[in-house]
Amino acid sequence: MTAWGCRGAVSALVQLVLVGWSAGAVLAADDYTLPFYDPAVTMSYGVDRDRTLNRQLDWTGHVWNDGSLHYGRVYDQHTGVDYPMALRSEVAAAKDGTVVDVEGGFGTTQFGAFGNFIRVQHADGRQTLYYHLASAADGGIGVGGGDAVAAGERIGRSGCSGNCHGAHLHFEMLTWSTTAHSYLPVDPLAERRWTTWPGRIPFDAAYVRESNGGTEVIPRGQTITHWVEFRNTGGRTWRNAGALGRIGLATWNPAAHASAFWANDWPYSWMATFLDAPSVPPDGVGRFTFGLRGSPAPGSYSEYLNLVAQSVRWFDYARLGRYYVPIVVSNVSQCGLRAEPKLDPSRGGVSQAIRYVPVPC
Amino acid sequence: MLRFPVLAIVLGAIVAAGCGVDGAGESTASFAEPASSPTPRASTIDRVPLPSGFPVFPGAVPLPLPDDDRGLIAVWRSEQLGAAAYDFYAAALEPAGYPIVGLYPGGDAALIRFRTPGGAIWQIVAQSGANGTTTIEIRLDRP
Repeated sequence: MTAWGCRGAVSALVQLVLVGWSAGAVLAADDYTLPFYDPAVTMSYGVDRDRTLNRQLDWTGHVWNDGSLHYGRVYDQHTGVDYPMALRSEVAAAKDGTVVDVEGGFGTTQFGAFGNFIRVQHADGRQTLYYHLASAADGGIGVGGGDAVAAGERIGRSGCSGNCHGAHLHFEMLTWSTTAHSYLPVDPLAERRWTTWPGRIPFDAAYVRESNGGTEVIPRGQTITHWVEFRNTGGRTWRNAGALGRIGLATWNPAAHASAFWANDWPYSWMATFLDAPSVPPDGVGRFTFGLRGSPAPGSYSEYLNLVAQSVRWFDYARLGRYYVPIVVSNVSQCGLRAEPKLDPSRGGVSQAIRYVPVPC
Repeated sequence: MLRFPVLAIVLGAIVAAGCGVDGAGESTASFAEPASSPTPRASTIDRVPLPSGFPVFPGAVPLPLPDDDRGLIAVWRSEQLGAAAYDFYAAALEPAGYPIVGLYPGGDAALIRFRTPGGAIWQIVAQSGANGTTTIEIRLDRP
């Protein structure tokens, strides 16, 4: 191993310790989230927390005195966090706020100055900046000055406008300085309470379990109750309130189609239910309970369902585990169905499949 | 409770990897031939040479190598600004036989880490230079 390789291993150790500390201690406060949706995106450069020229203080606390690039760490005088992403990737607001400044006149890859950007004012006094966006004509700017934006809402698309070497998003946080009488950049990675570090995309979930992991058999015309639980692996607290961002379970494939199985407890024909609990913080488990009515003709069906932050964002269906409910609608009159092995006499009564037997009332 | 065993494992890996030993692991055996593309002038100190056929950003002008930077393998200046040099190498390295280890685009500068046929990791650094130019460096890997 070369001397450089050795130093790399040591720095990896430092990062590991810091990640372990953060993940175990203070992760998952409902604060700022990563300003994009792709969980594969990692940081290329963080904030230089030392304003001295040719001296860099990176997010791990390491000081460099060479003024050069340190990938994954810092370069001199850098005021934000760089996230590599392909041109025209979706960019999200990191927190609720109001758009206070927008520039969209630069070309998507036009070099020079700041390029296209969006600045958002937040109620906690901080501002966030999203630099190097694609041009307004190219879809880079999805909001206008004065617009209210919700956390996790798409506000634009990435580009490489301005002072940019390679497509990326420069995400910057600023706080008001009473001494400088201006907004000055702060390092979100240094404030480890924020979910921008080690980083979670706004909306993410993982399947946990459901009331019936097999096929739901519904006598025609009757309604059964089904529930499913997902873990909140995103950076936002799920809430069952408000017009923007209320978490619900809705039909998928295609999105928001009117379900053939909607029951009286559904808020809409395409929305099976909202979150059962008032809120579920990151790392918590949320349950979604809803009815399924056997309205269609007897047969076998599948109802696909995905989580949605209402009026803000659908979840990534693949990361949700491609959730769906297999359904059989029965046409017999009975008080229930019982699953039994289906025996094949030609094979000596060996079970070949499952059949559903009506249970008399 | 989990962190200390992990720490021990990583420390062990560092020791096992030979940290603390002066490892001159940079192999130059594969690069015996001089480069056929436009290359910077040789300096007065011994360096790892740029391999023959290494991709060179079109229109880039080679610059002399300073004696006080032994990790620098080649340096050019280009009149093209912005992401062009970074994009060029991000696309050209792997077809030329240099697998990319990491891409680090940025504002003032960008860096690409890649592996040479000899197994060493090098860097390409593209950054804004003086008088509205882009400087492109090939150098030994560093953290």
